[in-house]
Amino acid sequence: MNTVARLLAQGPDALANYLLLAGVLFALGIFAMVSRRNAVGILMGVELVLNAAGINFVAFARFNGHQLDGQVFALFIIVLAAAEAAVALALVLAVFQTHRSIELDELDEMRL
Amino acid sequence: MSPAMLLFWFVVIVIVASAALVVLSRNILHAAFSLCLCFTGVAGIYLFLHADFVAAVQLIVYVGGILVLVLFAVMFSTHTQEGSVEPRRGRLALGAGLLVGALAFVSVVLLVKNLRAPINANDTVAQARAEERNLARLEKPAQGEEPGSDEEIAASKARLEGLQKQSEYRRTVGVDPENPIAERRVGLGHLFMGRYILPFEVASVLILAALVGAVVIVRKETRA
Repeated sequence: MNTVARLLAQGPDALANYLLLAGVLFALGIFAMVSRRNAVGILMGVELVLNAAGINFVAFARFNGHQLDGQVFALFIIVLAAAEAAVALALVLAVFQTHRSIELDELDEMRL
Repeated sequence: MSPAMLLFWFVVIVIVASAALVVLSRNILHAAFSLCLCFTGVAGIYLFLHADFVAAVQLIVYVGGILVLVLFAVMFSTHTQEGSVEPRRGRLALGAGLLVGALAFVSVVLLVKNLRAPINANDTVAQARAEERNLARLEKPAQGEEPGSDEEIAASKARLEGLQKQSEYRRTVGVDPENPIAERRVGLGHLFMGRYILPFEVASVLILAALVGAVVIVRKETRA
């Protein structure tokens, strides 16, 4: 209980708070990737996971003497997320054009 | 509790709640809108971490770009539900909207005020000031202290000169070295164009490939 009270009191000045937040985001993202049946919903889970990774990078850089390298990596993550989202959503639209559905349970053939 | 503390926990709660909504809500459109709130909250967290440029890019690329793509995909690919005409807004919804809007405004003001406070630990100006104090102590020691040796004084002077040259260089490229935000921006630029130039260029090629690939994938086949 002591640790919780200390973390609550430290707020934005404690590295652990950012790591916990990123952990929660990561877990929720994984949960979405596993439990959603909609392809776009799974993509949203991926985005949550990428955001969690970005928070971790920037937080570790901030609490290691205000380095900037972590921010560079977070920017690369954002770039990769944008590229990934563009391709994945194009795939979703292509699948929808042929199958009239993006519920992954109903897509059980590899043929387009 | 200070305002910064309250604001931090407010942002954290917003992020966690909206991420939970992304996962749990039945309507995929509602999930997309709470994803928007979640991304905005993460931008606020970046501001708390003194990463103002990353926060701006997060807002522009995630909220302005990726989220619009997601919304497009959702609206294209889900069958429109009948009876989706919006009913009249209740008084509760109106109050909640006003409250959230006011809180968001206060958050933005407080976050932007929060930005100026930190001085970079690697800041050249701060280092130069510390070196000046060190040199003064070596040359004119307080009572009861030994003056520094000639080598120490020479080394301190050389360090000070180097730091002053760096500050001078930053001034010539149009950066006020007293301003931590500008310091960070210039530092990021130097990293992108220096140590991380190869990943930077690879990322640009990747984006081009992704854009062309996305167009090729969705394009309908047409007979020429």
